[in-house]
Amino acid sequence: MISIRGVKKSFGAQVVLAGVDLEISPGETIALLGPSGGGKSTLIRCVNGLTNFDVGEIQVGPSTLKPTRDPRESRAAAREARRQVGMVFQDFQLFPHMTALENVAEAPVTVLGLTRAEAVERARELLARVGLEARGGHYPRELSGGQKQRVAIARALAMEPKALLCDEITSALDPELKGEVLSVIEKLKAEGMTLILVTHEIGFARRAADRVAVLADGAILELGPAAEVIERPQQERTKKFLERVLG
Amino acid sequence: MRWLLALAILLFSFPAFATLKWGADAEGGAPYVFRDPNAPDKTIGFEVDLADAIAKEIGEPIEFVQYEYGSLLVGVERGDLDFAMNGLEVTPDRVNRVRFSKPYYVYKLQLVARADDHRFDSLDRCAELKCRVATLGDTAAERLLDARAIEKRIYDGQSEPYRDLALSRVDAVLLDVPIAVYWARPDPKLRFAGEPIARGTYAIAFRRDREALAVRVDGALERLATRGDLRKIYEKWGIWNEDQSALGAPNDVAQESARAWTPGRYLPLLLRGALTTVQISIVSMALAILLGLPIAMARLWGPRPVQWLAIAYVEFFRGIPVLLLIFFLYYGLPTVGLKLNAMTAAIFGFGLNYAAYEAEIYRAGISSIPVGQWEAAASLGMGRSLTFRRIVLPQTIRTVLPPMTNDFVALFKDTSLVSVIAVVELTKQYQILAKSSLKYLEMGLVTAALYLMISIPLGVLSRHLEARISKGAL
Ligand SMILES: Nc1ncnc2c1ncn2[C@@H]1O[C@H](COP(=O)(O)OP(=O)(O)O)[C@@H](O)[C@H]1O
Ligand SMILES: [Mg+2]
Repeated sequence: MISIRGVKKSFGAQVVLAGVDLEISPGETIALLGPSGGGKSTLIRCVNGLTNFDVGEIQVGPSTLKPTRDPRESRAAAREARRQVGMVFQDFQLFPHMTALENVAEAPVTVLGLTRAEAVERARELLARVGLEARGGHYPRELSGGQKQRVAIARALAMEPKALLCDEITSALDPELKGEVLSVIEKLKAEGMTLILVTHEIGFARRAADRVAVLADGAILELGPAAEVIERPQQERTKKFLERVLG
Repeated sequence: MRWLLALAILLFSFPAFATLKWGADAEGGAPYVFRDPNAPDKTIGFEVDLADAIAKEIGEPIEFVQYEYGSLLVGVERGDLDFAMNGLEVTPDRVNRVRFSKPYYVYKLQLVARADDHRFDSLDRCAELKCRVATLGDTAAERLLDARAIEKRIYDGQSEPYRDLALSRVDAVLLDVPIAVYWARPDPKLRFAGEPIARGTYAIAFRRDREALAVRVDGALERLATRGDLRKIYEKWGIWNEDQSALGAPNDVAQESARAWTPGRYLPLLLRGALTTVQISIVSMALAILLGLPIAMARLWGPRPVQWLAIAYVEFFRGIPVLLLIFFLYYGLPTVGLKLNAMTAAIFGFGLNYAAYEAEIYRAGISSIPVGQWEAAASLGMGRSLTFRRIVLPQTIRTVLPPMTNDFVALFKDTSLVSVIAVVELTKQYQILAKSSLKYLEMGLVTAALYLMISIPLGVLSRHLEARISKGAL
């Protein structure tokens, strides 16, 4: 489904991705762990073309992202990749001037060309799937953090992606609100969605992820089945990182 | 001891040597009082010659003081001036305010038309044709036009009416003979339409308690008239005519009945001025808001040269006074063949000027939308222009609403500048009415109330929007 091959990325003199390889099969859930500043966000932003990389290649379904100087070419490739993968952000980024329902229905109408009635119908179903059927008419400012993040997930799903990129989607939430978002993710996994989850919730990663990758200093330190990596890490750095996160 | 005496004599005789302050407006004031085109620091005109002659007669030096024409009588009343002599027509309203000297010139009004326009040769015919006639504010000519219900355009300066006549912006000019002689006669594009009409007189205005001085000046004028000195001065300026021999005859204009300036009479005029003010403000602001957005977008995302153009636009129009811009659009552009009417010139002046400010407000508003919003839309497959239209612009409009409302209030007040191109808006209408009625205070309060009735609600609206937006309720 997604294959990342030899991707390198620098911001000026700072090397952020130092050659990353990663294969994700359809329906797989992979958790990306690692210290902050390790390049996790940069990596998944490369997958849907929000960030350009310098070397390597990323295959997303049938489309391929490559480094290119031609902005038009890179925009076209990014557009194709985004057909395949949706993204959910740490800080929600709902459109504040639209209700929950309008947030979800916006792209299906303006990008996919659905009629408003069709898009609204689909948006209602999606909001029901994330447990927010009663909140469609609310503006983002009238929703709790957990509700906002579930609307954001519904909004990404409205484009019918084959994979979903989630960048620390519970980090901005109060502990008692994390659960409602994580259970939506688990439901998606059960339905066969391909998922890349950047997360600091080790317990959740252990439970929900098929595999775990640890990314530090722009390189994958460790990669393997969730239970194995989390319980018997091979690398000294991984051990230290897990000890710190688990307290 | 001797030096003390000398000092005392100097001190006590000082008032006798004090220079008399003569107020007149030299701005475009030919042939009365104006700057010598060959030596612009020198003031010339037939009234300058007359002042010199009077100074000699009464044995006191007279000094010219530049004073706004419309405020001359106020200057006399306040004591800023010892007297005013500047083609002041003797009217009943004025006779009630100041002590006039004996008349020193008998004027009539001359109708002037374009040389190629032979439709009329009299004011009556002009009225039948529904002509638009230009003249100066608060003059016998203006009152005559009012009395005949002829559509008028009021100007501040003496050259502009003839200029606009040549440009076909008006159909005729009705002004005092000396003005017509100086400005219209040499111009081959203009012709005198019919004989001069409506005789009146010019006299010198003194404060009522300066009777002694007024009597001395009256004596001087009488001697100058009988000796033929007046005639010499007027002949030198080409304004001598047979009417002058009738100096002292009854004054037509003085027969006008004094006007009763009740609110019922002036309020409709002020309201009409207010309407013009509102019209100019709204259309100019709409133009500025429409024009500001593409300028902001060009500056944010255009190719380099387009960005530079946008920056140049903003800096240029923020850097020049809007008054200059309006003057240029109205009086400057006809030189290159582009003739805007006064309202259009005013609207474009303010519109172009305020577009620069609105562009900067848009730019700040667009930049304040988090990058995350662009990225969220992009991750949904929305392109840049779609994202701008659907996501960024609607949010920008919310943030720019309060500062733009503030700008609208500022523009609303700025519109008072357009009187320079003979648009009679609220402030100009107030000046015209107050000068002729002397109800500066009463009319001033009414005018201020009219402004406040519009600007205060707008200010409240702006603060209300701001509060709602900062609470995230919009
Ligand atoms: N747009 C950018 N410009 C410059 N440096 C950046 C940019 N984005 C990320 N970085 C840097 O790249 C490194 C990796 O960042 P990130 O991918 O966000 O790490 P993580 O998500 O693992 O915390 C950090 O040092 C960060 O400062
Ligand atoms: Mg991150």
